[in-house]
Amino acid sequence: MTEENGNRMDCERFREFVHELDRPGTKGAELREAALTHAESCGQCGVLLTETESLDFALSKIAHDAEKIVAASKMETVVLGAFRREHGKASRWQMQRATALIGLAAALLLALGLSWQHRPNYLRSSEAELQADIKAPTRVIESSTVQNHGDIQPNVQAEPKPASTSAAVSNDSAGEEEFAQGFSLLPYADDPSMMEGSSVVRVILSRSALASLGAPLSVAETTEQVPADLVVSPDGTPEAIRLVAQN
Amino acid sequence: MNEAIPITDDGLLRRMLAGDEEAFTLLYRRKHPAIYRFALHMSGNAAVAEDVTQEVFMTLIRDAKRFDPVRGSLSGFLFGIARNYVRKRWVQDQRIVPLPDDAGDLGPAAFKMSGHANGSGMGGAPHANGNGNGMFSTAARAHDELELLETVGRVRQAVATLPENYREVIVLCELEEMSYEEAASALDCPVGTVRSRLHRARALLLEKLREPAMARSSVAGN
Repeated sequence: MTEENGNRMDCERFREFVHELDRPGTKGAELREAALTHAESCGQCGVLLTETESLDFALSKIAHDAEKIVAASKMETVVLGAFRREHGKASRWQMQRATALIGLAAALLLALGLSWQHRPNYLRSSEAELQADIKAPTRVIESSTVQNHGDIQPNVQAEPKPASTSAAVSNDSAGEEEFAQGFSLLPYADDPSMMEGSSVVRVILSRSALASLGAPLSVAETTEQVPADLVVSPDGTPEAIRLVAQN
Repeated sequence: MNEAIPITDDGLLRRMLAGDEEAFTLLYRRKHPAIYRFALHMSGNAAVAEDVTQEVFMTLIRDAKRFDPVRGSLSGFLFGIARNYVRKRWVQDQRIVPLPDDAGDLGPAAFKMSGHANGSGMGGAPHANGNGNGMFSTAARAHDELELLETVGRVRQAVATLPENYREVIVLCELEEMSYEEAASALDCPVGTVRSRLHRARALLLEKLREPAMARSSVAGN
């Protein structure tokens, strides 16, 4: 169909497009000129065009008048109040959620910290243990046999020993931490030769008993049981003592 | 030159969703007149129109996230909500269309009828200018204006008595001057449907407007 044919106008097409002659962007608007020309030559279509224009005018007058209509101002107050309530509710919910999340995070951190604090010994890093042992002011006597008499001196700090040696001294209380001071010679052990071939024995005695042996203890609580390591000479005489604190 | 750039509806909506009361107020002031007019035209009752408008914005407050910019404009979304609430009210009130006598219920002065009971057929568009001076031209202008007012009143009545589907497109496309696309978005139907409904609605209006004139001319002929 040519453009001329596309723009041709007859009564049928006129009736089809008469209602959108003034509506921009429509086919009717494109055909407006042809429609007006047709209406001038066709009585019926001319009347229809007049009626349509009258209707358009009335509708635009109604639309124009309606623009002056406004809703009651109280409605804005009501709607804004609803917005504030809804938003306040949402804010409260968000705050509660944030508080709950913070609480949960705090609880998790606490649980993590406690589990770390009370973790089993086997989970502890051997490196950390080694460092702790190296730094501990422990004076260790060879586990079963004391070879060097000069090593045992009261209140003298010895060189740190490897962790394995330390573990051998304090491995009889698995699950508990031990802190041992250096060995102190007992008052009557004045002959270092007696130390040769001696053994280390773990004992648990009352404070009063240990004090009577010559351990440097106060005897305020005589019933308290205190673990201690004793260096026992081959004839069974305690020669030196060290206290072992346990957690 | 430093001109203020108007904030788009979408921008205001985003701010509103973030809890910005000022944005919501702006959006309300921008949109509520058209929604109110639509509800008023559709229900013919100012109280119902206020209820509907309020419900539309309450829904926007609660369910603004339902709006999808891909599916249409915010206006279309709001008109769609308004349309649903008007229908709900019709079902509740069992009042499909207002009676012609209730036209006064439309409330504001803009909706008042002209008060002329005897129609003289469809009035033409007002004369652009008077050709004569003096009493004749004054009388002619007064007659034209009277005729125009009467036509407007009758068109208003005719719109109020249109079936719902047709009234919607007349209100949206003619009174709110929406494009076919915008109306289609509000009515949730294809553009072609809007076009055909509008065509049919206007034809119905013309038929309704012709009726009194035909009746009168037949009476005069007898």
